[in-house]
Amino acid sequence: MKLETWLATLSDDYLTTWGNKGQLRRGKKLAATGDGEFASDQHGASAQFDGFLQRLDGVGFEKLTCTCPAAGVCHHLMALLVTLRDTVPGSQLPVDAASHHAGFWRTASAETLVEQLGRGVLNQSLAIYAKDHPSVRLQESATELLACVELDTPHTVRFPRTGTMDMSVCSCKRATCVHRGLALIALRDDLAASREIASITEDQVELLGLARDWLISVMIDGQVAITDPVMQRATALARELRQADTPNAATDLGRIARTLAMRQDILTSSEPSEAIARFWLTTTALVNDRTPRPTRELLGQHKRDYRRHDTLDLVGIGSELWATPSGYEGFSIHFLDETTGTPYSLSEARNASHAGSWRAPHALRHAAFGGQPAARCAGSTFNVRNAWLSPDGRLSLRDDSSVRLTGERNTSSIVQLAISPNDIRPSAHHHFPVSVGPSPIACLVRVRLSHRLEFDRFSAKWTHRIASSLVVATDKRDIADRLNLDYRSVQALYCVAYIERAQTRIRPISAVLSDTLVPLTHDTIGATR
Amino acid sequence: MTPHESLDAFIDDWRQWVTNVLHVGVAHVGRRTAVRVEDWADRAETLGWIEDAALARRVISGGGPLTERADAFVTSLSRLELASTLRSTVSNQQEVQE
Repeated sequence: MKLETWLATLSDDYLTTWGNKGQLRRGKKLAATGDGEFASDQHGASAQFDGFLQRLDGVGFEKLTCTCPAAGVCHHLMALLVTLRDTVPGSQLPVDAASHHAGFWRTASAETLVEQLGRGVLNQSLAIYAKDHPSVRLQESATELLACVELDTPHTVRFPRTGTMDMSVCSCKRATCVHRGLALIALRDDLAASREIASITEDQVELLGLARDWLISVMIDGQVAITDPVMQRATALARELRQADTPNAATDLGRIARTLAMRQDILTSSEPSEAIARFWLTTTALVNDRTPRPTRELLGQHKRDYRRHDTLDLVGIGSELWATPSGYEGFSIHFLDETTGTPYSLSEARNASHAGSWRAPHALRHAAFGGQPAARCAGSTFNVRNAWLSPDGRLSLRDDSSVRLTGERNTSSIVQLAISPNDIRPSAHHHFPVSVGPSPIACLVRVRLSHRLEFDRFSAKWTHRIASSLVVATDKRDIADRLNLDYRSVQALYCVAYIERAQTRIRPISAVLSDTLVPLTHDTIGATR
Repeated sequence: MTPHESLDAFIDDWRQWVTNVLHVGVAHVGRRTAVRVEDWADRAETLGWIEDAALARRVISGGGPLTERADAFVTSLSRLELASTLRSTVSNQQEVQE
């Protein structure tokens, strides 16, 4: 995490919870005198107030030291933080910029939270939560999660939205405590309850029934009897399902109709039967009101629900050309949020039959982002004003959007944004940062390849298993060759994760090889150090 | 044939008749396919897949309403996909353990 991002979380309330009101008041007074010597850079700061030396060697309260005799927090350290907060450029983060961060309490894996909190503290918190039912009031704002925990005495815990657990403070003054544990347990309970709130309406049940009737009628006469009116009916139903807030069923119905209508030899493709099974099982659960998973997850979430964000700092990670079985071709430019590592992609596509002279490779070669050729933006950093983002990580630029090239980011700091392979799980596992469902999802994942990718004749892909249920897979020989050339140097892969035959697979787009970010798609030129 | 190969063969046979029926529709199942489904249902029953055997027989039963037969077919197809997924998962885990 950047120093200025942490400093931006240090509101007066936050500092009071870390220390106390008196220390903050004295610290402010001391800072205002301007008597102390003060120096700072991007890694930390030092100061000399009242003849004592204060140092900040990194990010976080535990990196603070003062040579004065006080044990723990003192007003000298307050003076240092107040001075830093008021002088370091970028540390006055606007509320809107913080508000687009989900907060680590939503994105961190269960394992990460256990590790940061300590298993002992977590077990103690769980026991107290189950036995004493303490009152925990939670309030999420644009900048933080505030928890008021009533145990023997009331305590206040603050979790900064842009930070991690290490940046949290509690009025009990301990670095880790049961108050934090109780706050997170209560929050997870609340999140689980809110997922269950979505319930299915009568209109949705009726529409799902009509869609199931359509499928039954197709099963009676078979794939060979699919006619244009049958297809048009499916298209109309899919549209109505989408409008009725049931996008998963709409997507599956569209896929069933498309794959059956292709009239290819269905013995060679498992896609129609997989889509039929998913549609049938999901809608059976919804119609019978006995959902094995949260209703909202079965109904789905609209992909294109774009929301505007005032400002967004991105680092370019690669680009790729793609084509879909339904006849679309296009390209995507991939980015990571510089602070949170959240992936976003900007895409352009056309239906090949109506594209005229438009061709994706040509369009990608001529596309620009922030004045930079899109195919060369890997490693470059950008600031986007008025960015429109969808829940599934799509970036859209509209009339009021602007993009500015802000510099370059070194590869080692990009690797720090990567998640562990263990953080990727099928979507039933809500608490994992990357939950892979029916739709593919992008992520930067730390990877070590122990050997070269091998060709799997069954799936016609080059594969390498990197965890018990995670496999790197590509059907592009040039990508496999590029990775195999330097397989020992692979540190991370930017990839798309998807489920195939009960296996989570990742399709690489870019790779971090030693200290170099290498786009892997053949039409993308250039690498960055 | 090992138990695993035997299970794979059983699931493959299941997929083959399901694919045939998907292609022609439950209303137009030919005699050869019907015999094949009946044979598979006998085997399923022997192996303890009682519900799946019953579903398969309902798909080819001449007397029942077509919508009920189609319903039984989609349910059978869905159960086949679940069985395939389960089989792949077990197979993946065994590979990892080896």
